[in-house]
Amino acid sequence: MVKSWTWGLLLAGVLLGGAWWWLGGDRDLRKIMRQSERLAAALHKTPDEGLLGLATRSREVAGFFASKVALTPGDPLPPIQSRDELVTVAATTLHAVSSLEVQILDRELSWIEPHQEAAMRVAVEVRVEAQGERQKMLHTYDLKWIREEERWVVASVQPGESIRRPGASGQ
Amino acid sequence: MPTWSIWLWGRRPHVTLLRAAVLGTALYLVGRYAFPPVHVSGLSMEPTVHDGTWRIGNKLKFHNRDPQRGELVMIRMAGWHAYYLKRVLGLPGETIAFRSGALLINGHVVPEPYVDGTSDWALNPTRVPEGEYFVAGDNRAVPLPAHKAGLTRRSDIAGGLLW
Repeated sequence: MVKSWTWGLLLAGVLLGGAWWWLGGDRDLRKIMRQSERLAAALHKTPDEGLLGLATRSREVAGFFASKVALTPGDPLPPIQSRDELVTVAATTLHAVSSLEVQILDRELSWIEPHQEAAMRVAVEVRVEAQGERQKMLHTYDLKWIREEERWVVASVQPGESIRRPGASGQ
Repeated sequence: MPTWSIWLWGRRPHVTLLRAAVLGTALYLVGRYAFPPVHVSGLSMEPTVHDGTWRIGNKLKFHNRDPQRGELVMIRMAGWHAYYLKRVLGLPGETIAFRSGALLINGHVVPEPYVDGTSDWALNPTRVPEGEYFVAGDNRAVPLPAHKAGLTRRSDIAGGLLW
């Protein structure tokens, strides 16, 4: 029989590890991580989603961004500079595709200014179906997160590709 | 001690636990820093590497030497789990071009046995800067503008493939 002290030691180790992770880690960074997961989930669109649903979804997506934003997501999307503009672009884009799925593959997060501004590099897989054609694309983006009214929101997005076209400006 | 307990924990459970912890840690370190399992996503490397398959990466491959033309490389995206998988075509200082799908290095055609079929890839002569490499996938059925191909920095090359 396994001795009781072995179980006790194992349990204590697990509890201490959990406590260290929860209390010792940075809660703000975990909040930003969760926000990025929610944003990716909000971009998910199924073929059966109606117009009303899309309108609501566009506002939900825009809610993840700061009131003044600088988004240059790259082709085919135009640069976006305000939340209102973002609602329009999100609605148009979601309407134009039959289905859309954004999956976060990996990300790295660091403080620009502790607990006020953070930089995130995120690798995503985008699966999109439009006009009967399915595509799967891999992209890397640099996001700046800022705290606005006690919420973490995205202030800027730009491509952060490690492979660049010849002649294009560097990263 | 019941038979099932001996089978599960061994005669000295604390030693079994210690062994399991050491083995788990070793597997984690090897997987993270040396030979990570790689799940291939996308058609960019067809027909050499297929979409949805698993391979083993090798992060130690270019520790002591630089990548050579024709080698497969893992290029960092973000974090520790996501990489582009591409083939090195142009080395630092070389001039690379594509004419009617043919690869030209410093004006000379370089055969690409790993490419299946023909393509219409076209690229004006481009000098690869020092410290950078020109990389592309093997799937030339995808038009060049839609293909993730171009220059990458040596520091973004995280390794190659072990298998």
